Amino acid sequence: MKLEIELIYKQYVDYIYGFIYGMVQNKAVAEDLLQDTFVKVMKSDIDKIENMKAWLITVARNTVYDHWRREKRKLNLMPFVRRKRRDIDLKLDIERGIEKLSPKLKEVIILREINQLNYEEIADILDVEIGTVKSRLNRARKELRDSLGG
Amino acid sequence: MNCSKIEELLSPYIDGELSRDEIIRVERHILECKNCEELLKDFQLIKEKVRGIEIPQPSLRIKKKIIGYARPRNYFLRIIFSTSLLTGLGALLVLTLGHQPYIAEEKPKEYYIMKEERTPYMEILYETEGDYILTNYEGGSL
Repeated sequence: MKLEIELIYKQYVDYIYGFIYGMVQNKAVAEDLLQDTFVKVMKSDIDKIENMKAWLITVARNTVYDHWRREKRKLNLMPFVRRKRRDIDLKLDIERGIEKLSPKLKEVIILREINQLNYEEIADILDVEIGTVKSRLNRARKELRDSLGG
Repeated sequence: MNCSKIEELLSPYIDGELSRDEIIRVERHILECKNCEELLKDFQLIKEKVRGIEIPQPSLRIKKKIIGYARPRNYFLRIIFSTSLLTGLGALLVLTLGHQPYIAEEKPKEYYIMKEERTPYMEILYETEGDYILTNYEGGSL
């Protein structure tokens, strides 16, 4: 069981971390969430998992959403938290554009472009219809186009 | 087919998720519609840009941490490892403290002096039959 976790880490770390980083766009936060994701994986009965790739992304996705919920609560308590200027400046326009997307549009574009999943796989992970994936991707790309000044 | 219907197909078009018939429909429309052609080009550019985002590697620290959680904790091996580590460190300490630095013993200079200049205080090394004797006496006041 323990060795299986090590194998899962080696095989899927780039895939999971790519998704988490794409969602939060901050290395330190992404690393913390990667760790949280693996702690959850270790506590699960992985022998029963049929589609490991999809399941791992689901765990990572839940971890990211939990993080956002915690952050939102914190921000409600501290409304004047400012981001470091350096963090903002180093980002590419496209990254800033992704940051502005709503979580639903963000995850669909990350799953498609960073994780390179097809529509069916995305629909499975998000538990939505393929038509919803298509329309969310279209909306995400249009919003990105607008934010890039296209 | 109107533009809004085609717009819905643009993302699946660039993602290779359309049927053959749908591809033909999109391509026919784009030949006639500048706006949709522009939108398609923008979507393709955005796709490339998002794919071009550099994802950093997770640090070695986090990898060690996660793998560390996963590795079975063999306390027996840990005890052996820490015991041998301590023994090694102790031996190193003893060797370091016990070591005396080698100082080359300076050989006394030897001088030849006239036999008649010899005094009782001189350390004679070798007496020759000639006019000179071999001594350590450097001269000066005694």
